[in-house]
Formats: sequence, C-alpha cells, structure tokens
Amino acid sequence: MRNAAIIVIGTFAYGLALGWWRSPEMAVFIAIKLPFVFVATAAVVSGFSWMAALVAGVDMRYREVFTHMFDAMAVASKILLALVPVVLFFVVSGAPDTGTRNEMRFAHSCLMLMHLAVLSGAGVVGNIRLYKELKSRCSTGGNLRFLLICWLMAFAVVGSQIGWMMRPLVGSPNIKVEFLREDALESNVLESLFKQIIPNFVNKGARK
Amino acid sequence: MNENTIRNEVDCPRIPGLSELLRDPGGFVRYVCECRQYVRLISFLILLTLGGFGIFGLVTGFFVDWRVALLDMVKMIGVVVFGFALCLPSLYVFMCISGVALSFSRIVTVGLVVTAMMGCVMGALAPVVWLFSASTACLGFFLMILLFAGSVAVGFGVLPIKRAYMAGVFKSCAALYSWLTILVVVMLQCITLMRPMLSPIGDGATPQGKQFFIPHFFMSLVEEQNEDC
Repeated sequence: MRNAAIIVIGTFAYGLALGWWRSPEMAVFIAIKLPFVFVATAAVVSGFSWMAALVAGVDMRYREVFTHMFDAMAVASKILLALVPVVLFFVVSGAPDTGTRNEMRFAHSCLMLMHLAVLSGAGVVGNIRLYKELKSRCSTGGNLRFLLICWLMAFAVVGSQIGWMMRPLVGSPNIKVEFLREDALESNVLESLFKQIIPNFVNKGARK
Repeated sequence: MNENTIRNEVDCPRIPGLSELLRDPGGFVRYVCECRQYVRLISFLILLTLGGFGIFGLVTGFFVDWRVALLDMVKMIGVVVFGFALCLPSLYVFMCISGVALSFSRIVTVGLVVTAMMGCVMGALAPVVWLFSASTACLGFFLMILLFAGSVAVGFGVLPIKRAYMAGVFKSCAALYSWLTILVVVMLQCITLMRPMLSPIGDGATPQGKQFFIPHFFMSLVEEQNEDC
C-alpha cells in the first residue's frame, strides 16, 4: 500500500508538470493518466517477468515478482517526484506559449525527449535498485543480469506503448487538448520516434 | 543502517579551510559526512560559491561595460542559487536511493562542497576570462571561452565526488554525478532565462519569449556574430 501511494503521488505530480505547458486542463488529464500508465505497465509485464525469472534460474513466486516490480516503480516514482521542480522550470522557462508551427513543434520535440530521458532514466534506476536487492537476497543464484535486461526491455517496450496509447501525454501543440485521442490504437511509439520526433529535432525550428 | 552509510559521528576540532578543500576534496567531503562540526562549514561554502560565481559573472559582463558587469554578477549569483534550490530535492532523493543515509543538512552540505569547488575555480579563472573579454569584440569567440571556463569548473566540481568515492566515503558516486549533470543543465537554462548577459543595456536587442538553452547557445555561437569576428 505504501508503494502504491508513492507511485500515485510521484506520477500524479510529474503528470501535472508534464502537461502544464499546454494548459492546466491538460496537466490534470495527464496527472490522472500517468499513474494508470505505470500500474498498467506493471500489470501487463508481470506474467512475462515471472517467467523470465524462472528461466533465469531465480526461483520466485508470481506474487513476489509483482511486489518487486512495484518496489522498482516506487523508486522510479520517488525520482520523478524529486525532478518535478526541474521539469516544471524547463516547461515554464523554455517552452514558448506561441510561435510558428515549426517553433512549437521544436519545443514539443525538446519536451518529449526530456520527458523520455527522465521517465526512462527513472525506470532504469528503479530496476537497477531492484537488481541489487535481488542480488543481496537471492540465495538460489541464477542469472540476475539476464533477468534485469529482460525486465528492463519489457518495461521499456510495454511502458512506452501504453504511454503512446494514452496520448496526449505531452500534448502536440497543433492538436486540441483532449483526454484520449480517437486514433489511440492506430500507430505505435517506435514508428513515431523515427518518423516524427527525431526528424523534428534534427531539422530544428528554433526561434531567434 | 545501510552499509553504504557513514556510520560514526566524531568530534573534529580543526575546521578545514580553502586549502584543505583544494588539496584534499575527498577528505573535505569525509569531514562533512562524519564530523559534528560540519555546520560551521556551511556559511564558508556558501560564501565560496556565491563569491566565485559572482566574480565570474562580473568579468563576463566586462565584455560589454561595467553596468552589464554588475548586472551579470547578480545574475550569476541568481543562477547558482536558483539552480541549487531547484536541484535540492533530486540531490536528497538520489543520495537516499543510492543508499547514503545522511541527514538532509549533511547532504545539502555535500552538494555545497561541489558548488564551492566550482566557485573556487570560476573565481580563479576570472582574470583569464577578463583578459579575453578585454581583447575581443567577437561574441561567439568569447562565448566559447566562457563555456570552456565553465566546463573546467564543472570538471573540478567532479573532484570532491570522485575523491570521496576513492577514499571510501561513498560506495557509489552515480547519484552525485547524476545530480551534478542535472544541476549544470538547470544552470544553463537559468542563464538562458536571464538573457541577455552579453548585450548593452537598452540597445533594443533584448530577446523576447521563452527558449531552451540548446538553441540559445547554438545561435549565440553561430549566428549572432558581428562584423569584427
């Protein structure tokens, strides 16, 4: 319960900071959606994670795996909570309210990459912390490094896709504020990363 | 208690000073972590930080004139104070997650050791920066000098963390490295927020609107050259 509370508080606060650049309404929407993204990711990957643990030779029950995953997410949520002032500062001081279409898209890409770095960094630290804990407690041995890689990959792929389906999570400047998009199931996150975000960042539309 | 913890508090009657900070930054961090008298160091470290950053701001502004120099001095002090305040929660949480069980005030003091070290180096490099500011009218070139001096200061800021790690004060320095990276990025954004720092007062060239630090620095380096460069 304590971990669940930490996850909800941390992700709710980070969600507020995440959506603030568009509007307060957007901030509230994202603050509601982000805890769901975290919990849904844990739920979706739990089965695979349990099986990966068995394959890696780490004898754990499903419930133990689920608890450990929540521990990792709680650590990640604490990091997110700690970074809220920094992220909010960048949102308030760096992202323009108005500008040309290119300028706004550039700001959106910058914010997107920043949030991606923060969220993935927090997730990685959470899992590394979990790895260390497992290493110190695990008496049966097993290939913990392999397990860490499996869990990280599962979290990264599933988490980013669930986040993608719960769009808008940063809020494209040229699309209206809404809770969920009508085309939520029509594309995936990797497709967007290579087709939109990276090209926008490379061909920057910065203002003078 | 976590094994990554500094375990025993001891009495250390001799308070370390500037020479100890420069000669043995790891030992300085150990003093902060282990000694009861660490509180007496806080004002000294704040003074070093503000002094170093202030002097650096002053010589930066001399590129334009003395009025800008005074303004830049205040701005640079604002940059370090605001940046440090914004990064305090991350410093505390990162340290706790890495297993260092120190009190909040001790963790803040460890952070201050890092900024004080950076302040010292910035203060020491101030004459060099002034020399270049007085001998060039090229904004892009001067900005490169400033960025180089800033990078050197950050490099020296790493020393207390690295030496403390090597001395066994911390079992991992990843938390402090991560925090320092965030602090530097936040300070660069603060500088962007407080722009212009290298334009004459009232020349009408005051930039409007919000901007991220990467395009700001990039454009200052590449595009805003005058005919003297």
